[in-house]
Amino acid sequence: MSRKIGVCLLILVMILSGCMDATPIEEVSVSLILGLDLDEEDNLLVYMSSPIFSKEAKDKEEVYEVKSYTLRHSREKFDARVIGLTSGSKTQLFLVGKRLLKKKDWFDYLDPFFRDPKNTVTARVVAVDGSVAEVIFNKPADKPRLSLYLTSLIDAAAKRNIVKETTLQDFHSQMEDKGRTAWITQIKKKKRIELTGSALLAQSGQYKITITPEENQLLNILEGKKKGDYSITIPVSMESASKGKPYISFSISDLKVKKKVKFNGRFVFDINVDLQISISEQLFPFDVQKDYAKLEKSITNELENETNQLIQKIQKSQIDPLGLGLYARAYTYQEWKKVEENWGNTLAKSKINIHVKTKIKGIGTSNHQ
Amino acid sequence: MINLRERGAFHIFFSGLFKRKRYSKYQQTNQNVYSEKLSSIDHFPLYPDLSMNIQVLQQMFHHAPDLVIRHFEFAGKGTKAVLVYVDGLTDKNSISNNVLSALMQSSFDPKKGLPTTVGDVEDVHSWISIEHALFAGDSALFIQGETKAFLLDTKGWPQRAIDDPKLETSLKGAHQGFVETGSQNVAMLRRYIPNRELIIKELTVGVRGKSKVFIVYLGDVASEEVLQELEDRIKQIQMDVIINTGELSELIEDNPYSPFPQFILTERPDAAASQILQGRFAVIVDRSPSVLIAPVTVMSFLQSIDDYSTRWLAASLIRLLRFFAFMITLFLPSTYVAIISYNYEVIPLKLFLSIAESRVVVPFPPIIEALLMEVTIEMMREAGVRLPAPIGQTVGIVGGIVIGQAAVQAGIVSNIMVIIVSATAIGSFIIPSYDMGTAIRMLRFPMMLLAVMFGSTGIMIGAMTLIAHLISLESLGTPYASPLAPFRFADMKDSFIRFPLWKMITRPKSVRTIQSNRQGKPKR
Repeated sequence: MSRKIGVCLLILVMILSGCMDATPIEEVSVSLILGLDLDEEDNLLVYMSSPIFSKEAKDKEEVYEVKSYTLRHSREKFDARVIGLTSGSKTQLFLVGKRLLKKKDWFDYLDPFFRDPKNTVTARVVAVDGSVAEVIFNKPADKPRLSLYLTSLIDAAAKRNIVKETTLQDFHSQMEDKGRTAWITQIKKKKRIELTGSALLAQSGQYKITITPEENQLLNILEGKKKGDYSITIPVSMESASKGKPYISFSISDLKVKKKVKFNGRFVFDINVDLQISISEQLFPFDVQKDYAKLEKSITNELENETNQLIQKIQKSQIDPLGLGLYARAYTYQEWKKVEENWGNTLAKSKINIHVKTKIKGIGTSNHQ
Repeated sequence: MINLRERGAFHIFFSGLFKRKRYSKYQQTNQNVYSEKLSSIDHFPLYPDLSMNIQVLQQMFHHAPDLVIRHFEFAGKGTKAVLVYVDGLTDKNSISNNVLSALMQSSFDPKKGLPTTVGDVEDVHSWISIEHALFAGDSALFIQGETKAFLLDTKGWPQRAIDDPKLETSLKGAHQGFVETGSQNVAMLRRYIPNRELIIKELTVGVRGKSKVFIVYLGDVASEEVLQELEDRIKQIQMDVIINTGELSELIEDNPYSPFPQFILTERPDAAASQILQGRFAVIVDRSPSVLIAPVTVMSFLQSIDDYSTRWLAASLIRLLRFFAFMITLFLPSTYVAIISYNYEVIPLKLFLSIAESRVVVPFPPIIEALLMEVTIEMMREAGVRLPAPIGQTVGIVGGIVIGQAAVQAGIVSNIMVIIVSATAIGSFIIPSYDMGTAIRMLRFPMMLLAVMFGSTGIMIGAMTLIAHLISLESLGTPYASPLAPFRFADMKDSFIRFPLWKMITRPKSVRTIQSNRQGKPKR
């Protein structure tokens, strides 16, 4: 008897529950690239690029620009235009136009990404030097879909450490944490799309400065990031160097960074960088095996010099992409507590000492004399 | 809320509340009619008068042109006698050389016994035993003046030569398979285990046609309790005739409503012997070439006799591959359906794009597409099995073209779906046991329905239900999911990974053996 009831219940449940809200994959318009920008009258513009799968369509993507009040508000407008149901679950890139970046608190617009779990937080946040429209309406003929192309462009560059790859999740923590400021990829449409280094933002999310790919590498070293390759080319000032072209390139095989903080009237940071390098290019006659100490010293000087310049630039802009504030908070909490609301300014007045130690571990297979 | 109700209902569907009801009324009535007739014949005694006996015989076997009644006289006193046998079930050589010629050349002396050269001679006094013996290939001898008949062992029915096992091929195992004669099958097992503890218990099953059933086991190893259970169940069977071991297995199963097979049916003597050595029971049914192994666990269905003759590392890898295939068969189509209907977020972008590109031309929702393909491939498999080998190949080729190429080009199914379906089919064929392969091939359909209704939640519901069901299953009263639940560490040596043979000293605990160590602890 109870068996029959069981079977009836089973059938009923199957029919009644009727989860018929399944959406097959090809009927979803996934916004692979999402863009935010402002027009001349400071109206919010939202851009979306989603792939088209139909073989009858000539283009591989559909791209739309809508004016709206918020990101969520734009969804209805997109739904009125795109082929399927818009979904933010596979967004790869989040482009932010320069005009919007220069405003304060544009970060608030990103709220739906952190609130609605159906949206992804692994999209890469990218600053566009110029307007988003220039980039997103671009259709390079020799490249795959723009979304795939830009994604792999950024991923590959981030592996070489010439840009900083920041996902929405990282960006969220960078923005919310008082001890550091955001550091995101920057892109520019010149003749073609190009990565122009990284953009450093203020605590409010406002754009501050751009650092070049070379500077980005140095900043990554200071941060202590070991992943990926570094390929650094610097001038050396030595006697023998002036006989040829005075440049040397090296890669970093091992990297140790220690940051220390103390407070004596002002914050003093010591950043000790321990580098093991192998030379990958040397265009002047010099016997590294014999006189390696000289070369090491010269490289150390040059690196310290360049990093100091970079730090000064950062201090001047009153930002903290390295997260030195985290150290200040961890080790000198009392002093930090007083200045946490105004950390950028405080950091600008702090003393930051950089000590580089370089060791040549490899010179490659030929020794140019 | 829905999930709870769902799961409860499924559990009910699969296990607990379906009670055992084995024998239908149909079989019962049949048996009654037949036994009435039997008892009426049994009223007749065996007469000293030959002609009376022949009358009874003719009454018993009307319309039996293959019944031979041969009148002859003994030498000497010239005592009259009749030899009765069924033509075709008997060995003609034996009858003419060992029976007729021997008897006709000597005289009959009731005190001395029969002057025949046949091995087995038996006296009987009832017509029923005569009937059974005649149909078993014996011949019956009636002698004038005797109130008994002599049964002579002259068996010799049409037989197949011992051949390679057709269903379970193996690379390194023996090339002998069980045949349709029970006594030969017993002999094959004896060859593997020539030990006096190898006990062969004979039972008969069936009302109309008595099938001999042999339970073969190691007397000092196998569990008494399990044996008792097995015997009881076999004795309870009241069928007309047992044609095949498969029927016997269905009649004595613990849970006939389960999709999972609860006994192994094998046609390999080496596999059966190896199971007996582990303390299990082999049930040989006369006239059937498959032998039932009991009790078993779910793991046994994924073991193959080749595992033990291959080097253990390679064998372990292959075994892991089988478990992987098991999972693939059960969950791949449903997971695919769930992912592309509900949870497309989990697919990496590039795969997402290629799936969407191949899906976009297909006019059906994913579940229809999946069912279409799965049903097609099941039809092809079934067609291939039933058809003779040369035509079977044609089916393979035609089917391969249809599902591999044409269906995709016509835009009826997507490329990815073809890959999923073929991976599933191949996965199901990797499983060594045909019964288990069929079971999980069948189970993937409800899994697909759950997937399309509830997405990945549905798959989890299905998986949980299956696990619950597997845990609740028993094979002859021993736990079916044994080394996993209840967890038995020692038994794990022969599960996902096959440990080296010298490490596997104990017999599986789930079998409840009397002797837990395999004889003569192998030392290395």
